[in-house]
Amino acid sequence: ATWDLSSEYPAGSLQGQTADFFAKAVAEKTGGDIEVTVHHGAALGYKSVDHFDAVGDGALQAASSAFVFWTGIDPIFQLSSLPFLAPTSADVHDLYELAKPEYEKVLEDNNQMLLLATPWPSSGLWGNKAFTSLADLEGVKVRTYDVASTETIKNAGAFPIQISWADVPAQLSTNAIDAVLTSPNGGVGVQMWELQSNFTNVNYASSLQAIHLNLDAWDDLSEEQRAAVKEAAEDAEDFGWGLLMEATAKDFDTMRENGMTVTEEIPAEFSQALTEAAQPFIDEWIADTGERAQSIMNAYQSR
Amino acid sequence: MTRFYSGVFALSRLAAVIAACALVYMVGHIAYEIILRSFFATSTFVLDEFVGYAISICVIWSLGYVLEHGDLIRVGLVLDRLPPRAQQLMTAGAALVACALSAGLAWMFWIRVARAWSRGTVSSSVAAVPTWIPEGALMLGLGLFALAALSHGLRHITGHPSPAPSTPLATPVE
Amino acid sequence: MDTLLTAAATLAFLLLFLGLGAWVFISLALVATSALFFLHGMDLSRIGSIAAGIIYRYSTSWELSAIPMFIWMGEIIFRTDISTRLFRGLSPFVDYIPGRLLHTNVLGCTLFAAVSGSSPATTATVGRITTRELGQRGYDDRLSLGSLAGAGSLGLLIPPSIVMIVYGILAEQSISRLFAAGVLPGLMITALYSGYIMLRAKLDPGLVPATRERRSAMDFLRALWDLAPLVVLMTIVLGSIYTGIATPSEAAAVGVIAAIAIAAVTRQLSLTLLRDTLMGALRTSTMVCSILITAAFMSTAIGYLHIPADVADGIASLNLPPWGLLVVLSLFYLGLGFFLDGTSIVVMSLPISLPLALQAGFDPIWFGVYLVLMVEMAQVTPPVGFNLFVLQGISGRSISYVARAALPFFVLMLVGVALLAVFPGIALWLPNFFYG
Ligand code: NA
Ligand code: NA
Repeated sequence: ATWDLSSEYPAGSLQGQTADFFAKAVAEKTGGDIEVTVHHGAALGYKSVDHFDAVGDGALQAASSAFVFWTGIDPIFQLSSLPFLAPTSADVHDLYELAKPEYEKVLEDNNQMLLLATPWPSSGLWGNKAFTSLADLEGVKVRTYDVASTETIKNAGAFPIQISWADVPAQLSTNAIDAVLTSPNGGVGVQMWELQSNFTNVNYASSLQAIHLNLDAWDDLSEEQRAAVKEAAEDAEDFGWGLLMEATAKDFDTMRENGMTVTEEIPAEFSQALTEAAQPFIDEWIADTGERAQSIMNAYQSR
Repeated sequence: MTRFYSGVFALSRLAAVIAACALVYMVGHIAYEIILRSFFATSTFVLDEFVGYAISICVIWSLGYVLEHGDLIRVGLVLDRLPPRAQQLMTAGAALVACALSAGLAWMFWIRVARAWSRGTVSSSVAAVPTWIPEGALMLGLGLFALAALSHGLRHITGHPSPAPSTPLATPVE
Repeated sequence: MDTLLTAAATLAFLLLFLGLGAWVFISLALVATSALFFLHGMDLSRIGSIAAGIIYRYSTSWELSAIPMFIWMGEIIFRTDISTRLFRGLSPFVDYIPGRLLHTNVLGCTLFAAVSGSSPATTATVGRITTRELGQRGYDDRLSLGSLAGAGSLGLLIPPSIVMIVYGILAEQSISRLFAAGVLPGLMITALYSGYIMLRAKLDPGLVPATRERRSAMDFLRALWDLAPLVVLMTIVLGSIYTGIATPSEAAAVGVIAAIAIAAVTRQLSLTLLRDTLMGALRTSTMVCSILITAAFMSTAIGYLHIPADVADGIASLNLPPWGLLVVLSLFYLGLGFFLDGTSIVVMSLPISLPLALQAGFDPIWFGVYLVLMVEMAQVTPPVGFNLFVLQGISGRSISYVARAALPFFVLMLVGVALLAVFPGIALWLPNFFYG
């Protein structure tokens, strides 16, 4: 069999590397029976939000998609991008394990299965100063990317602005925006040090990205092939989680080499204030999503 | 038949007026966004999403109107060398194929609209727009174009003149 | 070999449907459908699902929105006296330059490229304004259309540029650096075009109408006054971008509002004007955008057939030296350019061609500029060349006529690529000067 796997992100991104790793592992473990072609950078024309139905309908056999774009399909996909909920990599992993059955269920209801999920590096604030207190954020125009970040930044006293990622460099160089909320990896990718001098690791959220597979494509496989694909998915998942640590450390080094100041830790007081700024959105999300959200949150807090 | 042709064209023209309104809306929304950002340090947070909906209506809903005005271009390499009746029949054939494609696509959109409706899918912005609305608008636009293409095809078989006023957009030199 | 056969079959479908006289946007959708059905062996329901997904994605895309707005702005200029005044105002100043007002195409596109990131938008907006004025004044039609086709694509090379942003994101390169790198090559192409027009006008005086009058100082002053509306308009639009008030993607709306304001100040604004310009803009932009939308579907089909990736893989396996690689890559991109549109040429080939180029020692910023130039060329090569489609719509000339008119300018772009390869500093000097 040959599968087309679509991804919105560049081949060099963490998620691009994970997808390539998965494709290679599948080919090796099935002895070349299944050939996965990865189409990086939205080469097939699909964005993450389109992947959900494209894979369900079998327009694509597989895709690598960011959960943040699926929040309108099912609110459960908001969980991993809830702000300041899971500060460490271990927290992110625990949250993933707790929510996994819910993710799997939603995907299965839509004729597809979850093969693996890996995290994005946690977002931080790029700007021309370090942000270490709410006072530093006051009146700062921050480029945000979704409802959660917009609400949280607003509550924290800054001005959220939503513009497309493509317009960010121009808007920074004309000071139409002052700061950008994105991961170290996202900023290093566009060499943001040419426009910004500081990175503050506020540990906003490590949202998840999944590789998912059409169920008909899965049903067409033999028992051995299924086992091989499962195994490849597990290996790729380990690889993706492993990338996270190294990548962030390496990105911090790159930033410093290019003359940036990196603030790796923020004061506990500021961290507490940010968590409070995020709370209204989180509460609203739990109310909207219902019992399944509440039970995951309970399990997460009492683990 | 004349009544059918002019009826369909009236419908196409109405759709084009709506498409023109969508174009005006795009300009207005962007202007509003710029004012909010420059003077009030805020944003509508849905600019690219809503302008996206508007551009799709702007293009798809005006297809029939633009077709009947003869502005949708084609390659005349073979066509221009044929006798007039053959040209008409080729045009009719192309129009009927366009009708079939557009109707088929409208059907595919119907599947998406029905699913978005039953699943309650919304856009992931603050506006949380139910996605059956913009997808349904596209479906409707494609249906209207299928109708316009059908009428265009039949008109070329029966040899009726175009119901659209002849106002060439191109400014031929010479 | 299999891949080349698939590619040839796709091209055959394309020539067949276009040749039979189906509307271009319908032809492209038919090519995509036939290619997936016959060459990939997909069933119709899967093809339909792909088509609906891609067409929804692309027809609701923000990037598309600048096109109708810029065209509307062009319509307002066209239907008020702004355009007539522009040409009247320019006339005295270009009297002594061989080719005279023909340079308005090239310079107009270069200037407009500084606000528009898309090639069809640049060609359509400038072309709408200049073709009538030049035609009425008796300038050579073919040279006029050819220079428009060539210069319209400068929208991609001169910042802002959508293709460069896409390249920057995928290749993980600084977009500011890429934008800076595009400026000098863009001006170089402008100079090549203007030089060519001068040469042609010198060699064949019949291409340009004869001048009669001797001008007084008063004439020059009046000419400056005539230029004022357009200068004000461009200042507002450029100013909104470079002060950060508007993003480049929003500049089109600023242009529409500024043009309406100028029409109001010069007492030309009326409901009739608004209605006529709106409907005119709708007709041109629907023609352009419908083709762009189905072209996206065709690109997707070509992606499913793995054509670009397989050919690029083949090139990788040749293990060529840098110069050989550059020549082969250029041929590959020219070939892709026959049937793909701008951005998809970049996204489909980059995962393979970029590592190859980097390994051969090419600078990633330089390679981006080179790639944008290759994409520019694709805009003027038949059968799928967007500038050709736009100009066919605007002028009413056949596509083969427009393509022949564009040929010399295509050759000049090739010369530009060669110069860029021999002197990489043309691209790299400015970004290095700005950013070290
Ligand atoms: Na440009
Ligand atoms: Na081309």
